[in-house]
Amino acid sequence: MSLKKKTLDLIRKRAEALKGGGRQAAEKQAAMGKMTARERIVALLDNDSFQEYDLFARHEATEFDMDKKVLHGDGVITGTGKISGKPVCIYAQDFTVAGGSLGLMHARKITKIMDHAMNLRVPLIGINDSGGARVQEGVNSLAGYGEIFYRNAIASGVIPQISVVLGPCAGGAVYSPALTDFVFVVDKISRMFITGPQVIKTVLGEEISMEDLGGAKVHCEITGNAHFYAESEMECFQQIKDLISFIPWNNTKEPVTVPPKKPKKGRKMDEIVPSDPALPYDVREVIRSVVDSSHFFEVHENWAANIVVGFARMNGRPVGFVANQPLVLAGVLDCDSSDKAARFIRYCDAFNVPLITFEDLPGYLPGIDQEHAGVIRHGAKLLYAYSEATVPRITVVLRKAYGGGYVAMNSRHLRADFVFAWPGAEIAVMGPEGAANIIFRKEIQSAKDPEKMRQKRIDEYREKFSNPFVAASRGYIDSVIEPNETRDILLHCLEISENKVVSRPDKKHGVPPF
Amino acid sequence: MATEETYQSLNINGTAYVTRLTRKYENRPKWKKQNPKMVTNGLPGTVLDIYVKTGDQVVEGEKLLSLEAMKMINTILAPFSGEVREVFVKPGQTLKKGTLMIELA
Repeated sequence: MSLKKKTLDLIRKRAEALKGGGRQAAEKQAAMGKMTARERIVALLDNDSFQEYDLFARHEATEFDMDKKVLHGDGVITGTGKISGKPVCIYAQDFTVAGGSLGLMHARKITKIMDHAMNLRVPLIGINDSGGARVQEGVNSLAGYGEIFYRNAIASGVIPQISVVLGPCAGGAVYSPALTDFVFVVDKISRMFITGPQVIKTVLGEEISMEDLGGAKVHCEITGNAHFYAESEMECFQQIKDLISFIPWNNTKEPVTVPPKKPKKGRKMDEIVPSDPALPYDVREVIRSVVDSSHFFEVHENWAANIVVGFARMNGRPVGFVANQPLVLAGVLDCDSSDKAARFIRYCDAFNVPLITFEDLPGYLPGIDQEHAGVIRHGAKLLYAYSEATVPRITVVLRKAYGGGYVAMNSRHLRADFVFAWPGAEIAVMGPEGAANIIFRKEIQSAKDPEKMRQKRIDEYREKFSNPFVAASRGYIDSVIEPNETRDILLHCLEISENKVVSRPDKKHGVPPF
Repeated sequence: MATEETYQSLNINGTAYVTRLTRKYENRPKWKKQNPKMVTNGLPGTVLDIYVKTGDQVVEGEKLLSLEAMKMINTILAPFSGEVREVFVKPGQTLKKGTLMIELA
């Protein structure tokens, strides 16, 4: 056969393999409101930038008549491509081929592209849409999962790993997304759970739909397993592109800097933040008023909304924000908000993104459920993450900083580089009400008019201790600043922190309160 | 911005904060003190056999009933010596977690 004929033969073979599970299966996928694996890759990557590998991979399974089955690409598409001109490694499970089930060859294709991502030091994007383990391949499927999980863990903190769940992702399969940095889900399409509704009904007698058990909303609002929620696949891909613009390509690189832009004109700081510490406001408005173009890209928007985390740019350079949110649960720290912030801090620290903390919290959420859920060990994650972080760290106390919360929120004592406070800041062991009730308890009880005495003592305490100047006089606060100076001061501190170097004692690794 | 109606009060260390509550917070599990006289199942499952009836005297560690749960047969023992006041379940019955099975006195 001449090379020309062989080339024609290749084109024919390739066309056959590109059909995946065939037209009927693709139509079924579309009927479920889902794009096919190949359509997803094309939609996410830059035009004509995708190069596929292992299209001709064949499984070696023989049991249960598997030797008679041709599974194109073995149910997964792998390759390299570009997003905004930057290289990425990508795989997408093809639900049209044997339900995207994971067999040994399917897993090998994934681990091969994962190894590429690590060797090339580029981000890895995994699009999950799979019925789970390929039962016919038995323990080989499980081995495949294990090989993927191991690589997810080893690549963590070296290259960004992004998981996109666009279909079922159940049983052991969920642990790959869980080990990666960011998980994207789409309403009515994504489904993640360890045991499905059928098993739950059989074992527990409890009936629940897939959507209520492990749909996109559940993972974005209740469990925190997913970081980004979208109404459609196209919206989800746009979110991925936005996220990618903020994060560096690997842990040795700095995030990409763009031309600086001023924040948009909005309300003044003193209009946003009420002076009464018991009144709510949206801390995201404060963030937007100090960042470039007022563009704040929030992570985990709907989960543990009492703390806000996300990316923005300051003078063109990406930074990570962590901020208590007085709008929700008064901005308290609790199990979920501690987990959320600790994880984000860890991400920023691993990938050289400086951290800015806006602080306004009344303390930790009281409650039996919180104590029994382990708020001690969860809260400890936040202390641990801040203490270990070596990226530039700046804190601004906007209003309240009470008790353990003051310490946890990137205080000087955890080695923040710079700590500032607005003039209305109250830095104290607790709020004036609580403190007066303890210190002057007897006096209040024995007073002729206890309520009047209580108020008098509360006012006194607020006047004497609930201000930033006590902390500033000890050097715990570097400076008390005017709210409208905030952006300029942050820019200055970020600029002078660019070459920050701190050393840590040699160790294999710490033992964080996982 | 949300309207005033969406705000609620949350008391932290004596101060009533005006804020929103989350769905998860409002649905948080309520704690109940366990009563050792009320024998409940820690795992959902199916009752296989019941070894006692109302009025029986049992000693601590005596078999009360067996329950198939999570593919295992679990024998439920008397947590203390006393009298069986009432048996609430029957063999073959499927139980949700936390169902009252036997009351002791």
